[in-house]
Amino acid sequence: MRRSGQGPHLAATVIEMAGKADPDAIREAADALGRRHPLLHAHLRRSPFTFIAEWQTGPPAAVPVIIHETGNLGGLVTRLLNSDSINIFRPGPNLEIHVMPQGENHSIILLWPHSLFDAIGIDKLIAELDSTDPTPRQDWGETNPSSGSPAELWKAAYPMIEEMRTFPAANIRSLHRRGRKPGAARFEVLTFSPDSTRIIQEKMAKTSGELLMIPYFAALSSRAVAAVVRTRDASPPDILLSLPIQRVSNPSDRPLFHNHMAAWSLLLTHDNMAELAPATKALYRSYASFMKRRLPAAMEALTKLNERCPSRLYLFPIKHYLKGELCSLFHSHTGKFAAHTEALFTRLILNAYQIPSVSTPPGIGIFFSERNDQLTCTLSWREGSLDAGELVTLRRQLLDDLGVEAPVPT
Amino acid sequence: METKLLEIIQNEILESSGPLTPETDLFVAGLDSMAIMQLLLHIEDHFQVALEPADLSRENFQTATKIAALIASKR
Repeated sequence: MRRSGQGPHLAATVIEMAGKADPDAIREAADALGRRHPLLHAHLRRSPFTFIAEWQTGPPAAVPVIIHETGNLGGLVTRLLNSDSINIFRPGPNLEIHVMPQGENHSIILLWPHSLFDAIGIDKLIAELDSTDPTPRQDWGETNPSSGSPAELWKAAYPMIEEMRTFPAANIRSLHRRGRKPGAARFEVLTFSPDSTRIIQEKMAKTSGELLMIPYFAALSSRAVAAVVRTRDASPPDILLSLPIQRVSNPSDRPLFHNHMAAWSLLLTHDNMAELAPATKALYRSYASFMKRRLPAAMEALTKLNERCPSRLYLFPIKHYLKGELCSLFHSHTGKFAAHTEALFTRLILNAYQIPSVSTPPGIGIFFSERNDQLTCTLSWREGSLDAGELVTLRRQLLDDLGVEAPVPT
Repeated sequence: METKLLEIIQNEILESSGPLTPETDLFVAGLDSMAIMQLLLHIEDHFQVALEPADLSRENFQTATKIAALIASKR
């Protein structure tokens, strides 16, 4: 999702904690964390021989902890997502820990780059966040994955390239406005109460069964983006999803910095989107077809091929091919967030969710996760991609499909 | 059928999880929403059964025995 000219691609993880913070305990753990994982102070450099970006580690150091005495959580996260304090192309920390009081409780905000972590990596990081063990870990993850020769990769990637050649026939649209310069990263978090979450789950069970969460939430996110596009244009849009799919079913024994997710490109045509149930079913069939045609391996080879060059070089032809688009939205449903961590620094975790920034195109991301029987939805966009009225349309369509009233957004 | 299901779940879906029995709680063993989608594909391929949304409940997928009973009822 990183894109040239749109700043560092950062994400924030918000962990809402019970009680007052213990700054000394957090600083001690942050010191150990930085020494345990040298990649938290590494930067990327491209090899002049292979042109593959490689991590260069710096001297061990503590992860910075910033204690905020007062302030507004939304304002702080907005400022952090639009800052350049973390830049993977220059030496310095790749993780910041911010702590902010919230009445009688407090929040811990982790700021991190998408180049180093994914959602599962952050889950694993949270599980060891309060460890005070400073012993350097050798299992850093796939820092320099061997990717094979370009000719081999091209051959392996070719089925996915052929698949992508079918996309221009569709009317793929996102919320990106051509010719408009991408603005600052913006977001809104909708946290549903346990009662509302139960209503959402009951509607899902009646509509698509209890277990098809990934296609269900992807389908309703697609319908929300399509609802906004329809207010701009008479022609019904088709939706191309960039859907992160977990590569391994059991990541517990995988290293922290392993690339746990692969992005799959799944098309949802406008004629399948008129109703939520058929849209979910169509997306599931699209997923099944992707699997049966062995496209995940081709997509992986294509990703490795793309690692050899700066993003602008491979995104430009795709944008040209898709008439200015790359996909229609970023989306994920990560299931139970930080499911294996009940408490940190002896304080209970009340809720936790991600706030990823997105680039444009597509200029919009809709992300779902669950924690303590509460569903959280993060809407993330770039200024210029979504105006105030369109945000209302997007939110209304989402809530209609979820089957609940709007919680108070933050 | 339970044996075939367990073989699929053990080798193709949950990879590194411990030994499974027909009564193992598959959700406790790590059967998440992604794994369910993979399992549905395997069921279609191996048992030529397409399940409907109403069939996709936690109750029906909790153990290999229950999944086998569901498949048998659809044949």
